[in-house]
Amino acid sequence: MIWIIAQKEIRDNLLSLRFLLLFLLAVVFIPASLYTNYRAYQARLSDQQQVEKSNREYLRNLQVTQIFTAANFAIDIYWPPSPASVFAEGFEDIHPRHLVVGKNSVEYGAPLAVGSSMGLFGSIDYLFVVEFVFSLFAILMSFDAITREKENGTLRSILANAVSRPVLATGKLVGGYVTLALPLVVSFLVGLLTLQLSGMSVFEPEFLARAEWVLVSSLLYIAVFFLLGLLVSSSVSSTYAALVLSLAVWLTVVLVLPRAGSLAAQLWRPVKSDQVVWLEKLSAANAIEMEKGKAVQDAGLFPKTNPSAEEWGKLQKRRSEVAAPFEDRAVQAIRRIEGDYRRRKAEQVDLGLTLARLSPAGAFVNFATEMSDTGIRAADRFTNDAEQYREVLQQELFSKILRYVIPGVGITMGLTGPINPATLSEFRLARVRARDSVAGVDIAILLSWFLAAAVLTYGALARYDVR
Amino acid sequence: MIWTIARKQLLNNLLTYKFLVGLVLCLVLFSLSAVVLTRDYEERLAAYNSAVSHHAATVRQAKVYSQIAVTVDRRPALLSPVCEGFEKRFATSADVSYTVIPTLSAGQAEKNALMVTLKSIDLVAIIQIVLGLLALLFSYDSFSGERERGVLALTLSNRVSRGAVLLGQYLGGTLTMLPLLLIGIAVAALIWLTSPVISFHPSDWLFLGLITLVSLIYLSALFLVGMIISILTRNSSTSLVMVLFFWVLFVILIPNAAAHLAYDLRPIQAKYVADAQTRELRRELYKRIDFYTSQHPRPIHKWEFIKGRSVYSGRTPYPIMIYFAPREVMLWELEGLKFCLQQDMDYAEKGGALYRDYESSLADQANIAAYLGKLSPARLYYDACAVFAGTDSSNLLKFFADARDYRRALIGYVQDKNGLLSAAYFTPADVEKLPTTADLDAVKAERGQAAVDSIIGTGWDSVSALDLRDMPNWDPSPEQAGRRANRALPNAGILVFLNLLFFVGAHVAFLRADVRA
Repeated sequence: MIWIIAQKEIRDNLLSLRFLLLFLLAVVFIPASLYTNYRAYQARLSDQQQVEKSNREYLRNLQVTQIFTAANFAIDIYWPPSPASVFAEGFEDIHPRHLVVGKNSVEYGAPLAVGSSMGLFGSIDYLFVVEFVFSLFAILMSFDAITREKENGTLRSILANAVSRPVLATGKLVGGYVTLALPLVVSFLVGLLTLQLSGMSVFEPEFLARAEWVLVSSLLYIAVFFLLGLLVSSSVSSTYAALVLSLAVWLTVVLVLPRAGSLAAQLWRPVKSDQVVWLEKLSAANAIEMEKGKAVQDAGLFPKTNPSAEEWGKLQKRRSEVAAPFEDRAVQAIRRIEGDYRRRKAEQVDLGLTLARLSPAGAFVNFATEMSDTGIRAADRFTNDAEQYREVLQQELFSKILRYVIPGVGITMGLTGPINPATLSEFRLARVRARDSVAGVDIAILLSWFLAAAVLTYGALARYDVR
Repeated sequence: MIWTIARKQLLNNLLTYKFLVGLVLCLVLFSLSAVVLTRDYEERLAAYNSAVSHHAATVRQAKVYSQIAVTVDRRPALLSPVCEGFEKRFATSADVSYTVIPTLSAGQAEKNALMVTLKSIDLVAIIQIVLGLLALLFSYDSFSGERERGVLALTLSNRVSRGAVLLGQYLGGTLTMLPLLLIGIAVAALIWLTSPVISFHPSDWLFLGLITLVSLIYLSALFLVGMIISILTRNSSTSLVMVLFFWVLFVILIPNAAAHLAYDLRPIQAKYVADAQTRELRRELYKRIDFYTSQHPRPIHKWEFIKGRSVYSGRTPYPIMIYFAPREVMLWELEGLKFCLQQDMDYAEKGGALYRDYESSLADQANIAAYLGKLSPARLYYDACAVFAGTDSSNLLKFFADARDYRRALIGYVQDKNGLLSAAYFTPADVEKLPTTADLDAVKAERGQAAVDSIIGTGWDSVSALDLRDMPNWDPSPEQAGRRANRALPNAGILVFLNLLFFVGAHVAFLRADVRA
């Protein structure tokens, strides 16, 4: 019986205007967005490779004196774009892709391009289309499923047969969902085909695995909204009320809740702004530099006469011995300030993310961006790997350059060991496997919304007045 | 009769569930947005103020003209909580110095994960999306619903023209949207005014009023579209679907698709290309300076006679600050300065030209996106509001142009004071009167170290800061209110025109429509 009801639903929907419009929107915008994002990915990749190449050239030809004369010599590193970013752009275009690893800290470098996404909603990627358009149409498909039949009088007729209410609900669910999922799956496949034809290797196992997970989570996501619409339909008695209520539900779940989460986190766990932390680091470093310069001066290591070459070598050695404890203190102080700030910021962001993920839209966004390797965890990985790289550079490069600020005299520099810019370690970002990117919690959240909505729908329908 | 119909429509709407839900949603969204964006504005303003005082303090400490390097800051736009526009896309400060020409650079990135998919919740965005949806929802059944219930035929059986019915419905519906709009903006304004750092000037109130006016025009345009769809379709549920399709397509998808298309039509060479070319230029510059240095080796001197020296690079005569040195050394540095600084500034101009190409291609792309977006009333509306709020791209690009002008003014000022290609650039001493190394040796032999020390002096601590009271100030004149209103005129004008067009269209459609159920 379920199947008969489902069949009727499918036939009804396939011939309706709603389905046609949804199908049109999906089959145009999903492949188009995949294609445009692929082009953007290619552009970003070639930009990155070019800039890394020119950087390597630059380092190879670098004169050691240029290291001296830079006030704060630093190495640029870049975040490689992720192929799966065709699905969800996430942080790809806005998180700093360029970090500058210097002695004291890792700073944001100038962005490679002023963001290309100049829209209100950011750019249209696949995630956007599913998160907003498909969820809206999912609710539109189901909001009058029950109330329309009640108003037409056909609900009574159906239930007058030996059809139990749960069977009716299941039939509607299956039938309606099939017509909803059909445009999604079809346009997804068309999109993958477009990517393949544009030159992307779609069948590469990592990418394919990620694509599959994205599709599965999208199907689950729209199922949740379909059920929410069905729930609303089973709870009110007129189509009009169902429309208003379901649109309100959509706006709340998709627009308001995720934002409210991050706002609550900001209010609950406020964190000093970037600017303040940067100033703190600067003043701590300057204070210690002053002390260091004075100590070296007091030890009489700034001679008035020009020393000979070997005397100069001994002098440098002595200077670095005196300066060493100050250098250590500087490094510790900066590490403490940075660590403190990072920890607090991470707590705040985690809290905001957790609260936002309670809503299906938040959970879906998080899952999809993680799957596309453009989410917050990917961004964090880049920043953490940059910190580690700084430690490596500290050993190979920064610890060999000593800079002295002598109060009342000026600034002078010295080397404690040979530096060969061409042989410095390169920065490598570890790529994560698809199965490690699966954020199971989000799937669990979506499933619980699904189950809760299902249970409530069955309950509401059981008490529904069908006359 | 028109007023009767309007009143009926208005009262009908006000007493519905739809209106109540819409009102609650508006209040929640407007206050949420106002709270978040006010705090964000307060933070940005605080950062701006501390940056300004930090930079001003640095300049005041300059003891020689080489130290005059200024960083100019852009004040956050007061109305940016209303319409964010490009405010956060562009950097808020620009470095101005002799050898650095300020050019466009991007702002700092967003660090909040979930702000990624829905970029901003400024007021105008809420009106554009949520109130736009509400306007469509109030209008989609204005005709088809009445036709279905048989009421439309009854109304027209009176001595009332179709045009009057149309006008009455339109007025009633738009008047329903008015309280939602006004209450929302009032709530937001209230929240802003409670912030200690936000103070509105008369011109800000004027622009806020203009934004409200344009919002009303936008909502009325959408209402008219809903009415047209309502007249043309047979039943309410069809018109609902068509209206939502229109909303998704024109309010959400097309404005963004326009930006993408513009990106394809006018791809921008990435900034790194200009960066790499600039690096090449700098390498050429270093080579030239190195060549000059090899041709002009440093005269023999003793380190003990040099004090307070900070230079570009050890053996190169390109000084930054030298407190004291024997005359032949100073003259060598001075000749070197005249060559090196001039070269550096010339190369900076060349680099600046490269970046200006990059800037203009960005501006082109933004313009193309804006033109393509004119297909959508939502985009027209947002762009007009961005101009009123002072956060549109051309206003923000003006900051960099102003910074370049300021650099020219500064250089002119320093040149007038004879501080640019002269000794005053790097030293407070009068070079002609300095003793040579031989002189100092003689003094040391005759009268001892103490005498030499008294000739040399105590160092930079004894030098007072330059008198920079007549230095030109960074004071970019804000755009006049009239000019800004003028710039928004095209977009606002098109919106008004769309209103008229849609109304005429609705009238024509209604004249031919069959009003029987």
